[in-house]
Amino acid sequence: MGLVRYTTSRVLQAIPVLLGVVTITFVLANAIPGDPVQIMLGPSPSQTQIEAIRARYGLNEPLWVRYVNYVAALLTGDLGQSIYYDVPVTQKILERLPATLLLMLSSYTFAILTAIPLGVISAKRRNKLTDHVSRIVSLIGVSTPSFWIGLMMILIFAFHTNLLPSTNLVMPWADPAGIRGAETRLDVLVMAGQHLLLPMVSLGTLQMAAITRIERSEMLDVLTEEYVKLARAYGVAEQTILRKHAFRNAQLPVITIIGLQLSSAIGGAVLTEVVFEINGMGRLIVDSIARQDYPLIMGTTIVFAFVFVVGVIVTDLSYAYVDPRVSYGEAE
Amino acid sequence: MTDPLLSVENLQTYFFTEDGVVQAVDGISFDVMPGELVGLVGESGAGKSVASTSILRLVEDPGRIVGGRVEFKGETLFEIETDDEGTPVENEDATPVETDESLSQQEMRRRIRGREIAIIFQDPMESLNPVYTVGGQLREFIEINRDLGKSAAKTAAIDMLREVGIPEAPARYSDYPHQFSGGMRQRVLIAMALACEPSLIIADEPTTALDVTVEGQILDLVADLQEKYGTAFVWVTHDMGVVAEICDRVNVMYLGEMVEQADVDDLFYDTKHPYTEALLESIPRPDRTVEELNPIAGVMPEAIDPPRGCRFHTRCPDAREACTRIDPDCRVVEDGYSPHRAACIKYDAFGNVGYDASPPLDNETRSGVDVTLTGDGGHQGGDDDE
Amino acid sequence: MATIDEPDSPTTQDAIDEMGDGEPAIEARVGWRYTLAQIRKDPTAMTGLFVIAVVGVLAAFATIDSILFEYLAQYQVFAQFGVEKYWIAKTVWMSPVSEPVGTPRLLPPVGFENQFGAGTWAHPLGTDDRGRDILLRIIYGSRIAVTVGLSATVVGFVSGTVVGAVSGYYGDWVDDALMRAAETLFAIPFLVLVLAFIAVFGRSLTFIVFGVGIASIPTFARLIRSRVVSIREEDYIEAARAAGVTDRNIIFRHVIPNSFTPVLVQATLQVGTAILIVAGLSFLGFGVQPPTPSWGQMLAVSRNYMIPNPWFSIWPGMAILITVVGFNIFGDGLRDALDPRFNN
Repeated sequence: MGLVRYTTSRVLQAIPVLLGVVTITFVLANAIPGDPVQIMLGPSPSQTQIEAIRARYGLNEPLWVRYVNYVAALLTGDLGQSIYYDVPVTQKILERLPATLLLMLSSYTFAILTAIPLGVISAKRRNKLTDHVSRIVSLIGVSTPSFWIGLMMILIFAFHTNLLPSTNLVMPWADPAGIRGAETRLDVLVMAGQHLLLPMVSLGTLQMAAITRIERSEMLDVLTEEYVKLARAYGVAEQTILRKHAFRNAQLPVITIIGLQLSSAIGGAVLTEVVFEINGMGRLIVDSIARQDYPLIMGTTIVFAFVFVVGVIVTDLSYAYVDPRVSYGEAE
Repeated sequence: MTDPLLSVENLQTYFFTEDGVVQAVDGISFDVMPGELVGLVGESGAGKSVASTSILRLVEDPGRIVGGRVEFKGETLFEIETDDEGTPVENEDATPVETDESLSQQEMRRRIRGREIAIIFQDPMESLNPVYTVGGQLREFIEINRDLGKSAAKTAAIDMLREVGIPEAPARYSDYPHQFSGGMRQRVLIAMALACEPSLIIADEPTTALDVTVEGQILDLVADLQEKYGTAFVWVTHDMGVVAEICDRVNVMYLGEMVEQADVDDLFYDTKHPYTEALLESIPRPDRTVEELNPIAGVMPEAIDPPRGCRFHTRCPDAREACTRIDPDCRVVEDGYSPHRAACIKYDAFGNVGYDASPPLDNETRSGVDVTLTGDGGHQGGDDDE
Repeated sequence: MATIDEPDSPTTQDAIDEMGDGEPAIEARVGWRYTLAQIRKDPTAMTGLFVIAVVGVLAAFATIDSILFEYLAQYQVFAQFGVEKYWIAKTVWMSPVSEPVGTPRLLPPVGFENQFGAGTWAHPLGTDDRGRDILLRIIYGSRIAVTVGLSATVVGFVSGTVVGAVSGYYGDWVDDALMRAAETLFAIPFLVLVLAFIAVFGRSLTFIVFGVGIASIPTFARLIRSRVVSIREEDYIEAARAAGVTDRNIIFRHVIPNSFTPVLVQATLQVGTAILIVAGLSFLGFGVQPPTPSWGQMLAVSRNYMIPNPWFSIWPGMAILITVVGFNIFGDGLRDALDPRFNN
């Protein structure tokens, strides 16, 4: 089975999972104790108001009809109408999604670029000083709440030294005309970078630490493999062994962990957005819960799950790319 | 007489573990002549694999070569410095000191490993990197060890794959290891070793993980290629049958020591050491029933705490009281096709050390005789010396 | 490991099966006595155990002083002695929740000074925005972290173990159905799932416990399933089945006890994760409501006072960090002790 077929099968497998997510979300949303209309309208609404709302949200239909309708609408990209904003949920989410994706992508980039060399060096200099330092740093990294790291960085870099801004994220694609203090595209990019730096590190630290830990232990594991010994016995230089013979194999579990870390990265993104006041999906879901805006809560939950599933597919494909055994349909 | 290609003298490799020092290889000596196929035989844990990795100086932590000398083509690969009494010299960190003639790790890597001495490991399933193509791995090693360019190395690789009997070699070149069967992978590893055109190949139980038919094919292949290329082999095995089939000369190891060295015919037809005898007795043969099969009594003691005196005395049918006191070296006891050496004091070569006078040992005074084990150590594919 | 029934979807799926330990074949080749001896030899693991013990004792104390005494105070027998919520704290020192009279607010710790005054030994870590002692509130805040973290883990551990054992033992469509369900649950990011749970059922602590617990079911279920699948084929299970032992007995008496060790390691690490999540929820305002102290909520409040008194933000974070490090290093130590091969 080639890479193309593998991709197709992997995408097809995701469909039932996503449908399951939609179902769970739908069931949860309809398990709300009390009448959702009551919650939407607050105390003592008029009868006509209630009827209007019921008709508008299709609440008079039986549950399964509403479910089918919801799924059918979802397929056309319609996630319903936000109660609080009174705009389509899809529109609100599309407004907020880019900031979250930007935040997550940049923190992932930061995490991968720092963690992989750190893990490799740590394994190479096992039990030396570098290794101990990197192990302690990664232990602290996986044990620290990301929002606290954010708070501490705001304290140091924004309040005390005034080096970096901590609020009002500027999007790199924003129109320079609309940004105060920016004249050209370059200004906007620089500002965006400055604004992104603290949230990126704050969110990325956990992933960095987690990836460093797995990278180190996998490298140590692979370095004891028979094929590494063989390469040594054939006079391959230690650098080449590290870079070529061991590295690629060690990346397999690392890639998987990178994908799975997306779950905690999304959770971290919610908190980071709150700490740095970034208007992304995370703040949207938190605010929607406070406002009991159920269509919006459902929509954000589904989209978050979608982002996660897509991320896992991407990591699985890169896994298949690195490990020929996968795409050839033979898991040894 | 020609000079030996490889000469191992009094090699000692110990493992410094938490539980104590394991004397995995304790003072073995043997030679390999150019173009010769030499067997290195013993049960699991006898130290055969450690000995072979020691020659390439690839012993891994916590193992360390603590004594002896290895010479290859007249050049000292390494030598541990000794004082006048022959005890290894250690520096402040209790690490043995190498003499100045010893090659550095760098030189070993550039000039010896792969280029002069290649190795074939036991498990063909684990020895190839699953994420690179078979051809790519082969080509890389050829490039390094024969100073060829990419395309020349590729041609050489495909030629060699064909040579070891892999059908459709050019197509298989770009396949991945998991697409090969175990026997085919072992052929690839043999191709790898031969393709680097070394003078010596150390084959560390290369057929243990394979089934018997495939083993037969591989042995035939090696015999043919060995004749064609004239490469010398050290064939590490626990299987006396394999030894009989392909080896010219045999070295038998027991618990880190050499117990018998002889030409293959001498060894089989004029066995000197009781251990070798026991090993041969324990081979299943068509002309004998299972009842007649004679497993060696007892299990091999741990190399961490070897018996005093002759290390085999706890299991030896001929052991006498003197054997618990004297640890014999491997001496010439008879001139055969080549000098026949054995480490057993019942031979005259050891002089009168009291063997004849001392009383035989009865079973009670020995240790660990309650378990029996067949000659091959009863293992399949397990790692030997760890 | 990869021989399990999914030839077409290796990678993430298989890896999740193996996850939690990074190593598939952890096996208790050695008894508990040996494990304990190994841990005793490992200073890092012992440090972790020490941290867990200290935090555990503090949390137990805080729970007795708040929940138990509040409950007992309903009864005349106890009330006549003056038993009430925070009885010990009030008797010995001061209430952790009510605003003390005359104590300066936002006081820095000992050795520091800000516009509100210099730190004093009366409040070694300083005071918060209402003049309450930060040390006292951190001690009482440990109750939420530990009880919610532990009970959420127990919920996930127990239900995940049952789901995984049933799934792995019966195989076939039961396995398929349960594993698809777990996969689906796993597809909703942890915190988002808990948030959705809170959105529906409200902010009560009980639902947070169940939300965090349920969100961790897939991890436990997959881990134990992969063990069960290999154990299922063992001779002694076959023997038990042939001897007519019921499935339920086989699962609970044989299969689960024999797949326990990797799950135990995962559970230890999961407590740390749960504590982080609970802190995050409290930070977002979804945890226990003021004035009851919790670490996350203290951090949320402290955000507004970081300029005058940064220590108000630093201490609760340190408390979370130290506690989670404790669980993580103990979990790592436990794994090393259970699997001699993995002594990195």
